[in-house]
Amino acid sequence: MMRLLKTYGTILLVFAGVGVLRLALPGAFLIHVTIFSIYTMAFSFLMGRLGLVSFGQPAYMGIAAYGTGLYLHYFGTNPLLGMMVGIIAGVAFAGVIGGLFVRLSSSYFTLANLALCAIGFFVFQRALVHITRGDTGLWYLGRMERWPLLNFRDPDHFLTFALIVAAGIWIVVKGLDRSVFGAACLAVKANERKLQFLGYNTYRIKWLGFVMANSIAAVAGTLYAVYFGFVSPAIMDVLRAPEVVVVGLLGGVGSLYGPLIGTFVYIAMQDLVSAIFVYWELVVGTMLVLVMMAGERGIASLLESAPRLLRMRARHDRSSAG
Amino acid sequence: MSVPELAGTVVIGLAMSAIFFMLSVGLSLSYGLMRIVSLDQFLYYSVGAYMTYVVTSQAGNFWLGLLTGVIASCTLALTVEKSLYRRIYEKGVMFSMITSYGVLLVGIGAIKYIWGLVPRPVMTPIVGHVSLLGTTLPVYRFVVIGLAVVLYIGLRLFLERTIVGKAIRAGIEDVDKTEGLGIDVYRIFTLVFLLTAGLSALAGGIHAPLIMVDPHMGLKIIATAFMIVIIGGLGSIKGTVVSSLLIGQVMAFGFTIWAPAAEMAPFVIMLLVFLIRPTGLYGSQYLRR
Amino acid sequence: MMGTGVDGAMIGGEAILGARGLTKRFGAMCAANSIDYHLGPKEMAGIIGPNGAGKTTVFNLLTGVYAPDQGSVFFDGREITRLSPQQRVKLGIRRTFQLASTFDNLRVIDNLRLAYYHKQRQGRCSLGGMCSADLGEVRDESIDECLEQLELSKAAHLPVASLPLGSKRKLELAMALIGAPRVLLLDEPFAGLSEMEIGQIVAMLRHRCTRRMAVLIIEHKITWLKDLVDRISVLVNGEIIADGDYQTVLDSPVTRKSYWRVE
Repeated sequence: MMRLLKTYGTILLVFAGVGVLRLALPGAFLIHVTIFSIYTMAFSFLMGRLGLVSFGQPAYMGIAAYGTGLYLHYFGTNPLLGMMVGIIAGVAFAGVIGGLFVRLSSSYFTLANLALCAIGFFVFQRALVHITRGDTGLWYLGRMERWPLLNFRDPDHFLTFALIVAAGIWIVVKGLDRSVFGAACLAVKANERKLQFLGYNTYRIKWLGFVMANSIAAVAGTLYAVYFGFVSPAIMDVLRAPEVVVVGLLGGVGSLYGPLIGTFVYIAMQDLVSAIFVYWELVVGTMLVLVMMAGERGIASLLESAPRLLRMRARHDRSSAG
Repeated sequence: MSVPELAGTVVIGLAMSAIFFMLSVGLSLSYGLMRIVSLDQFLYYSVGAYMTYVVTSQAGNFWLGLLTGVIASCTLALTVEKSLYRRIYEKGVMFSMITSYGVLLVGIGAIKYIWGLVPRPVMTPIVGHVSLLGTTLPVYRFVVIGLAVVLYIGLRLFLERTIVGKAIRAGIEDVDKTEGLGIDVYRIFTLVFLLTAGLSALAGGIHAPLIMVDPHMGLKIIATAFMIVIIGGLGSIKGTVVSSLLIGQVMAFGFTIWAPAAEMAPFVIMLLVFLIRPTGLYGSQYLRR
Repeated sequence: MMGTGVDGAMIGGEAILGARGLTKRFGAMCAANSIDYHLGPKEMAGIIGPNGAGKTTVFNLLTGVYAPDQGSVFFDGREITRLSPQQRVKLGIRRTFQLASTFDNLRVIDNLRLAYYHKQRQGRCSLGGMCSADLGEVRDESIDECLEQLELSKAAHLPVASLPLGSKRKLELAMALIGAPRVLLLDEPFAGLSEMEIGQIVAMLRHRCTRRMAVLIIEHKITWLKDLVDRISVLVNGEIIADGDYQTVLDSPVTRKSYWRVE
């Protein structure tokens, strides 16, 4: 028990800290940060651990959001059950698509996901318009059940709920990072052929990693669906696909807190910038180029390496003085 | 389906194939030679279309507009290549993909800023119709098809008959060896990049009268263009031709049956190809760096 | 002398790894031309040849990276021509690569742990098991022993990316040895190393492999193999032109003519 607390205590502290920020910051901002950081974690898991870059993340998030939305619009009123439906839809979809996609080499993988996203958008916007009601979207905010302890329409209730979910995901990811599977994922990223020659089935490892990452995206999708009480095709717009790439790279891929830090900075900036600037593509695009040119290291890795760099500098100074 | 309907659909499909070919052959070529996936090509596609729109509506000459579009796009592409790609080439496909997506987004933002969000129509330069197998079809579609055929032949002659073309082909096979022969590969990279951008701009300008120009036009075609490149196999010109022809027909026939099917069919074909060949129809498994 | 026979009976009997009529073409180039080769169960053998002779192609054919155009591969009396690389690893065929091939983003010890974990699970390497197994809990004497023997104990917790080439090669060898292979294929294990590092690797091979497993080493230079292997074959233009012990091969007129180009 103590050992578990020692391993995972930091995560609980960090997300409790985000909750405490509620005293100073608006609830909507913190909710957005929490959900988006979960979504970014999905991207970071794929790129940082498996070395796969997906330009189609919105598709996996969108499928789950629509799972929840369709359930709450047509069938039930229980938001938790709706979330379950959405997550199951997202995981099943990722399982099937993953079986095909993880066989592809990295360039094919990225582009195939981009195509998937475009097609997903089209399907929900037009092909299934009689079910999804196209751009009008599905509305069900008033239909969702409310309980005394958990009322999704109360921002503070929702923030608490989202933070607990996020902390749970971070704990799972950290656990995986420490497991043999986590090491195998990194090994696939570094040298897939070598791992095959150690006897591992890399196809299955990549498939499971892919499904895990997209399950995380699915959780983010269902959280959005119950938070807004509304879902429309805009959630899987191809235009929004690079957003998560920017945020992921900004925070630093593969690091545990990178997605949270990146999201925090990005959304704060977006809120400040969009008030004066309508052409957000200019901002996101420029940031993407700058982050890449800066060496794709991300804020989190800069923060992590700063103390070591300082120590090295100090040692260097001492040795050159002596 | 009657004969006139059939003929009409085939021609519409061929015209689509022509535009897809212009747009995707450069992507495939630059992947083969430089190992980059250059998503900013869709910006040059949009710029080509917008310049055609501007010149056609101001000066009234479509062909001049097309030329302006190509020149403007190549200038832009040269700037991007010199300032960004020089640092990208060494870093791998992923890097080029993400960075060029950034460039594309900046471009879309700039287009929105200059021309606004409203789609603009472009006048068709040739308004005549011809009769074929009992149906009348616009001459412009035949011009589009003819232009693509000319471009394809020109490209083949360029790659097979000229020294530079031979150097490009050698580079696709083995860049290091080509460099060893004392050829400045970076100059060839620049050339192929500009060639790709020129073709993209041409595709944009030619496509403009058939659709309307709008800021998101590049993003609307990006998925289809890449599905074509992927189905054919990255790096294979032959594959690009085959899959352009295939997808053009599939989409044209799809439209006559159920419109949404036309959009989804290429994706289904892509998945089917992946089941059999994860590297596309003509893609090489060994083409990696 | 072991393993030089070409008849089928011998494959079932003595040789652990064998090739018959192995042919592979890349376009017009014939990288392997009807190669017959047999390796005894505890034999330590070498293949030498100039660059581009097809040495690595032979390894890729034996380990299942390429499928041969013609011919077949045998292991322990059964044909394995159609088996995937992974299935061959399960049988006990391990290899190293010409470019030191390790997981640069992991720590030295975690590289070894990954290699050990698979061996420990013996083909029951389920995804669920991998997720619930803590990497830090994967411990074994053989890991520590390997680290010590290769003088990597101090570097155990450093990322592999920070190691010099020599240490990476040693690590790769250790990863292969931890899997307790029955056949070990080494692709130019000495390339780019200092005399001292080569000495360490030779000592490790002698200590860990002699009389325990079959070892096949590809080398560009014959000198390093002199005191190590029982038998040397010479590969030129995809064909084995000479085969025998060190001195026989060195003195053979065929070798002198086509390998050293002296009359």
